[in-house]
Amino acid sequence: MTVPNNLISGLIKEEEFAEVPENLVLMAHDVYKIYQTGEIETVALRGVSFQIFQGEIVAVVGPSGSGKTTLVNLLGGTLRPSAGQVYWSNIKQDIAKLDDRTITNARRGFIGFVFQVDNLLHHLTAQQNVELSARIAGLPKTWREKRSTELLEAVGLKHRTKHIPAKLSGGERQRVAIASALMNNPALILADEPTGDLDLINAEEILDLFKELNEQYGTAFLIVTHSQLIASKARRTLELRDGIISGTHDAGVHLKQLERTRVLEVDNQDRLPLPENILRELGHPRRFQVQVDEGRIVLTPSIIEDAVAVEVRLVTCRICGKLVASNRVTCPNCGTAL
Amino acid sequence: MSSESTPPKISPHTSGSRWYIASYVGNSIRKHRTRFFSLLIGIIIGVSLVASIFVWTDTGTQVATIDYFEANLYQFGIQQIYESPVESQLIFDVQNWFTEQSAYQDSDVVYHSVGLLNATNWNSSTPYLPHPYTKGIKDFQAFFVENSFLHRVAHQFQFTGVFELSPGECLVSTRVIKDAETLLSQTITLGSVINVTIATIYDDPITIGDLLPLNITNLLVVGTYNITSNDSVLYRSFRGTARPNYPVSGLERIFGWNDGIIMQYNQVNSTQRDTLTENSLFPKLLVQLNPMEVSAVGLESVPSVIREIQLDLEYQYPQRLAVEGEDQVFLLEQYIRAYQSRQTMAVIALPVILLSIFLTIFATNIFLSGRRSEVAILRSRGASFRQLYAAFIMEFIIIGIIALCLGMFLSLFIGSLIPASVGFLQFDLGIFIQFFSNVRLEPLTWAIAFVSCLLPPLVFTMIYVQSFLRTEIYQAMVGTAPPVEADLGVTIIYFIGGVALLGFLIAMVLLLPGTPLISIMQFAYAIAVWALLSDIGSRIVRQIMAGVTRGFRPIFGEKTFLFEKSMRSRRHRIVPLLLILTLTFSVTVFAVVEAQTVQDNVITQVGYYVGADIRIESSPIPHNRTSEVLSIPGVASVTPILSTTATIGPVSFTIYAIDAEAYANNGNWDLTSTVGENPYTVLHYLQNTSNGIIFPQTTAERLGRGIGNSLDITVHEQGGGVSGPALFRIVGLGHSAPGLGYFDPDDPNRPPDSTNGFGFQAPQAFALINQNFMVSRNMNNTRLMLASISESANIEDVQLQINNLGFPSAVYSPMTFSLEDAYPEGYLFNRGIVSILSIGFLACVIISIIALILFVGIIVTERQTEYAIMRAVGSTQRQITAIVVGEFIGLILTSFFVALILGFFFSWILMAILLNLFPFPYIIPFQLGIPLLLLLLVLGVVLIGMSIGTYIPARRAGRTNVGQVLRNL
Repeated sequence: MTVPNNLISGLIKEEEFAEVPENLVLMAHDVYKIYQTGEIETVALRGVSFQIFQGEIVAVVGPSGSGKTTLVNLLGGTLRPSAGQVYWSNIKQDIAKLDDRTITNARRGFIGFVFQVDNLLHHLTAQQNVELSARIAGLPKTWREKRSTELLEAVGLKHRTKHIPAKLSGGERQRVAIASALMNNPALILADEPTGDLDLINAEEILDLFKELNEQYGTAFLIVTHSQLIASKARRTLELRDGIISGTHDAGVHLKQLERTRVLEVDNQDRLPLPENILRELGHPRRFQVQVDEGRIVLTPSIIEDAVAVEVRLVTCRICGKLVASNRVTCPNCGTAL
Repeated sequence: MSSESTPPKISPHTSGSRWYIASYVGNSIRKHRTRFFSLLIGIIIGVSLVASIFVWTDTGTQVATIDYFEANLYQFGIQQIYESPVESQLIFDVQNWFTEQSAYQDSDVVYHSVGLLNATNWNSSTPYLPHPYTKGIKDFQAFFVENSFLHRVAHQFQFTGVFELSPGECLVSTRVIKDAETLLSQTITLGSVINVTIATIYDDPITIGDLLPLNITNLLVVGTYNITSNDSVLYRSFRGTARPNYPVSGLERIFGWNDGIIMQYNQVNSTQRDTLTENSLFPKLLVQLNPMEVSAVGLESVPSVIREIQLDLEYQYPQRLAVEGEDQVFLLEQYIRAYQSRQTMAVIALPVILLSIFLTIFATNIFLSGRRSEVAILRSRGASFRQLYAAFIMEFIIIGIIALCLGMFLSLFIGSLIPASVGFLQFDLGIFIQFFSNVRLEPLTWAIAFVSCLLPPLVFTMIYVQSFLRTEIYQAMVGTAPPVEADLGVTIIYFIGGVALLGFLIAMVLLLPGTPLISIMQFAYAIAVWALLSDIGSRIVRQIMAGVTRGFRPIFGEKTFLFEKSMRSRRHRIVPLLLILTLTFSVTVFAVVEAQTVQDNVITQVGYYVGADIRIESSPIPHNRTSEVLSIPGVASVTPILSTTATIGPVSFTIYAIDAEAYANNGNWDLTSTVGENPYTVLHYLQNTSNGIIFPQTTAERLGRGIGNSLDITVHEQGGGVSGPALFRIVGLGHSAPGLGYFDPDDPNRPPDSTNGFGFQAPQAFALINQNFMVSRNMNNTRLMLASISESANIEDVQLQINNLGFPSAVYSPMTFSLEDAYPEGYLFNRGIVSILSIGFLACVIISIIALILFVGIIVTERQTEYAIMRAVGSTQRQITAIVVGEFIGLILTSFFVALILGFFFSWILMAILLNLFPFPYIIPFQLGIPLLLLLLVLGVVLIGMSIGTYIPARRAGRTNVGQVLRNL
């Protein structure tokens, strides 16, 4: 499962999307997200790139505020990236520049969401909530009823089909939300803390369900989690810190001992984020001297430290040509990563 | 999971289900009932208020037309003019001409002549005129009719016996019976046999012989009658004439139906009839038009259609016919014009309509905001922008259509209630039923109601939903941060802007000419400024309340902390609520004050023109007959106003001679009546200056004279002729005088007045002098007396007794003055304003209570988590309820005080604008009527109602289910 080298760095042109592998479901490429509240800019993601392939279960872990939920929403097209590209295989296009209508039409049968926040309509019953996305898509009623009943049975809520969310426990509501996400049999499920409210037994059942779907339909999963249980079952785990993928892990990750399995990756912009535990051990130095020693890169904390003033100069945006202060992360004019 | 349930392939390029929109809308309306009813009621109130004005005016037009056709069985009474040679066939030619007209329905011919009762008692040389009653001669109008005519008009007569005739029978009016008793000592009852004489000629008769009498003897009286309608074409076609029956009396009405005897058409044989017809037995043609045909083009066109027929008739028979009926058509036209000038009425309702639009918009805003996360969820499940946009708009349209239909239905009731208003919140059931049974709803009313009440919120919804749906899905789902506290500087700039717009409004009202169009624009602008100032006031109040609340902590404890936080963080909820409350209270003040002002001032203006408690008009009579009036119990004092003409060089004017002291006491004076000094002082000067004169200010300026200057005036005798010169000294200058109107009818300050002061305005410029001057020159006759009555007297009794004195031709009182008869347009306008304000006030209260429940309910719902946390950390149910009630009562009271200022100010400024739209002959300045007690009562009830209204949601807040709310976090 690899992506051609020419798609690794720089802006990917539309025609180049044709070269992506058949089994690629989704790809994020140099994705930035900046929230603007009044005068304050908050950078949630700073150049995130990765791919998800058919049938893959990918976990995303990281401390609170690291940008996990933002990432899920950017991938699902419910949030627009400030810069970068998000490729969806069903339409073979970058959705970042598409209009809302096209994205909505494309998403309907392609992505299912399980949000961290309760995403059930409180005036609909459990079954009606599960059926909702199929009704919106205009799928036949008989099929809808059959499928939703099956899904509710699968998540252990066959006896609760007529209950409204207020009458369900937090765990039950989450299971209804999962069943809802599965309704249109999407190619990818984006789940944000799907078992956060569930006890261990329920969580395991949900995971088994994910696994079954994954195996039966080849549904890919991207699961944001703090749960060791989920992370351990993922084929790949992305570690997110301060809006950057700070490490990747293959199957069998242990959340309390990430340093054991962590692999650092040089990203599309040739950046290599250092693991937080190493920096902590070194006393959070801000500058390093770099040496290459027999094929190894040796980083030595610099003694000059922060005494050197940061020089702010103007640089030219490579996309729109506007002059921008060098300490900015993105171009304020076009949003391109600088 | 079975593979059978694998979904059909969903193409990434196809739109979602169209049917889902309809299913979502139906579901949404069912699930969001509060939103549904709030929007529904908001729109219904607006629609019903706007539509009811049009329903009222359209129905009024119909009722006026029906009344016209009911009151006027005939549209024309046609007779050959007296001056031309008699053409016996002419009336029948006219009848034939009518039968060819499409609007013609039927006609009757009534023959009439002069008759004498028991004329055989006198010989032919007995003098007939003048003053026949002195000689015991009873003359009357003799009618010869067919029975078909009697059957047709019977319902317009009050009769005893029968109302049909055979040869040898007659019907006698009660007036003839009474005069026969008085003049001839002859008692006529049913079954009596009488002898009458018909004049065969009537050219300036001096003696009875000049009438060439034809005797008809032994007529059997089979019925007595009186015509009941004194305003119909039937009555006015034979209304009689006025004549002094005695040397000392004034003019008295004689002849006509009420002074007549009706006989059968064949009572005179054909030979006699031919003779009579050539000379004095005049045929009169009464023509009925077909109401359906006449109103085929539209009810508004009925007067012009009837007038066109009359013009055609006069074109066909130029200078040969006297046509009766035009007055009634003119009256109908006045009514219709008054009803059709409804745009003025619509502006009165503008504040309440605006309030209903605000409510609709705020309700839309609140409920859309509340559904932000629902929309986000739907969008995350694949609902497209287009699907949701269509769903929201369709939802609004469905609610709008239901509200429009219900509002229109309600307008049928309200539209019928408007004419039934007899005071603020008082209605006459009879008039309501009359209007309701004829109610009319025109397509134009639907269109106007839609454009004014549905379109603005629809456009708002379309724009707002667009921006609402464009919010990023994730942002919408997690909710938005509380709005940033508005900068005080922005509010100050906003305030300065509001004050500038207010200044512009005042300048416009003071400087621009008061044409109706400009006035309507000013009114609309004033309402916009009012709404803007209410908004600014609400924003400032919120900031001030948030700021000063801390100071009350020693009194109200920690509740003030929560209140302050709520004020600061819920600007988007608090400001609209304060705005609606402020507008409600200020519109309430406006409605009460304006209704009272209009009512008070109508009475004041009428009272000023009538002049005193009682106004007595007559033909010229000796002024000492005031003693007869004074002898009536309840009359406190009477002053005659003697008049004659005078000139100063080429300037001609009238002199009214008065008893200055009595006039000062009896007259309804106003401080603006005279220039400089008040009228009582000026009249006091006049009384103490035997050759004093109060002169019109305008004429004095033209002549270059002022107070203290002498005037050499040529005084004419009352009957004409020159009495001689006299030297007067000006003791005061006048604008107007009670009972007489403007000193100078051409006064440039006089507003346009189509009624000529209800007919009381003096015909030319006049001056006031002392009564003694005219009496000393033997000018003793008066046509006008002004009387005051004692407080305990019943004005209607006194009026009746004065009427029974015989000499008055008319007796008026401001209390019994019929504005409807004297001035239908002003009457309708007055009644319309009071009704619309009454109904508007009710609508306003309903809106405010809905708004309050809506806003408080939504705020309580939004803050459930906060209440749950407070409960979890130790607050009791009662404490939470008290906090919520306290918060909202605080808001209600604050908006109440802001509204009082705005309400009084805008009542004043809108009244000033309204004066230019008010078709009323106002002569003295309008005063704001402030019914303090009523105002306190009304506002008190509204305040209490609102305070109780907050308790229900507050109790809900107190009963927040802590476990459930916190579990669902």
